Amino acid sequence: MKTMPERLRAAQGAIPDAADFVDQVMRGVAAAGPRRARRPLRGTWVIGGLVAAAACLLVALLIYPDGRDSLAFAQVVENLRRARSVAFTFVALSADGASEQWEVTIEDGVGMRSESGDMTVISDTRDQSWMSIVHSRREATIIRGTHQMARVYDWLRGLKGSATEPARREVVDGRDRLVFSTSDVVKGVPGQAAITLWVDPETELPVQAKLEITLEDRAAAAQVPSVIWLRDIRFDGDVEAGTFDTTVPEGYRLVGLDGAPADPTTAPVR
Amino acid sequence: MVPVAAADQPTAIHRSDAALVSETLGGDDAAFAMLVARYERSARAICYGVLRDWHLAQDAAQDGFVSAYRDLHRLRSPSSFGPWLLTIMRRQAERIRRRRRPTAPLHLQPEPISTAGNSTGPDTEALLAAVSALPEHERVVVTLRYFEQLDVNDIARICGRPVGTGTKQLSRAHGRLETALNRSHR
Repeated sequence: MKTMPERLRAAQGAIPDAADFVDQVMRGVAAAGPRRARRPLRGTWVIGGLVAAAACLLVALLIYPDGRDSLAFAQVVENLRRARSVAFTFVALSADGASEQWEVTIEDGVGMRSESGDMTVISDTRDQSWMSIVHSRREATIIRGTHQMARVYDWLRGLKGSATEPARREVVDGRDRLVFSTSDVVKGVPGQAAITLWVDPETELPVQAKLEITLEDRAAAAQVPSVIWLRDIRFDGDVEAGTFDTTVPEGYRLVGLDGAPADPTTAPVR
Repeated sequence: MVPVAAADQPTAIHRSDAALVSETLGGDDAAFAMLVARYERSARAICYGVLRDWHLAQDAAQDGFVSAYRDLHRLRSPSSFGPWLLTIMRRQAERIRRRRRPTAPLHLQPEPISTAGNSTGPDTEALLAAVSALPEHERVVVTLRYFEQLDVNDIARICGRPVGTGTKQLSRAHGRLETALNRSHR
């Protein structure tokens, strides 16, 4: 019984020689020559495209010698909307001089997590609620609504500034930044916010933002920060699984805003 | 005596399919002739596996090569030339077989495609038919190994794949051919 390689070698011997096979094929190839015109045509399109692109670039450079200065505020906001995730340091300064600082991570349409010392705040966008955890007391509180840090970021993403060019250039931490300024009304209470964005000309995304809030009502003004900074803004970094998990951590108890034990089945509490 | 110019030229076996395809696309028809020489026996064997007639297989293979030349710019990965070509060959042979199918009334026995003296033994026919039906990459390594009599290092260089991949494909093809032939003998 022959092995398969032996049988295949034997089959090879059955293939008759075809002495002029290559020549015959090449004669057929020569006859088919004109149909190969497709390839040069393809190359022509590529070269034509490159020439057109180069011409457009040249025109753009002639009109805008420093192309980056032509970046419009609307484009920056559009880029913000497209970002999948963002991380930044949130600094809030109150009129009475108090301040707080949080490290914030937000994933678009998923949730927000912020950490500050003993506290963690996690919000789940789909649940429209957020959980505040105080680690030293091993307590968690679930509150309905959207946390203010997520609201501030959403605010920036919804801005409708009309500036077609940045107000100025500024060097921040040794790097060249484009500075945009605009203003917007504060939602819910009468007031205005002056908003400044420092934009990286390479990514066309903000690296820093400042919101200066002026409320007409003094009592209300005492309740909200007068200045908010978003510093060291980074986009589209990796977000670990479980970052926005609002399950009460094991060993922690769920409490209401008043500190009394809360029924997990009736949370959120407000 | 070998002419100096010819001796300096790398032989076809030292050139990968991908390199020869690129040169052909660059306008060097001699590179395509090398590809034809490399695959001609394989191509005819594949066509024979479908047609069971060496004259028809040769015609189909010639047409297949011309068709491959014409459509070479459509080949996305030049290193896949072998599988791509042998697929063209198989389709070309099937097209010819369909054209030759008798159109006589169904109650008449159709003429066999094979003609005396132009076919080979039934075992070899069945084997070539089974080779023709192998998956693309296995078909290439089998035909290059046994019909073009190349060693596995040359096949690896031609196909742009590791030697180990080629030997595994050969081994799998042997098993597949055994199975196919056992089934056809039942």
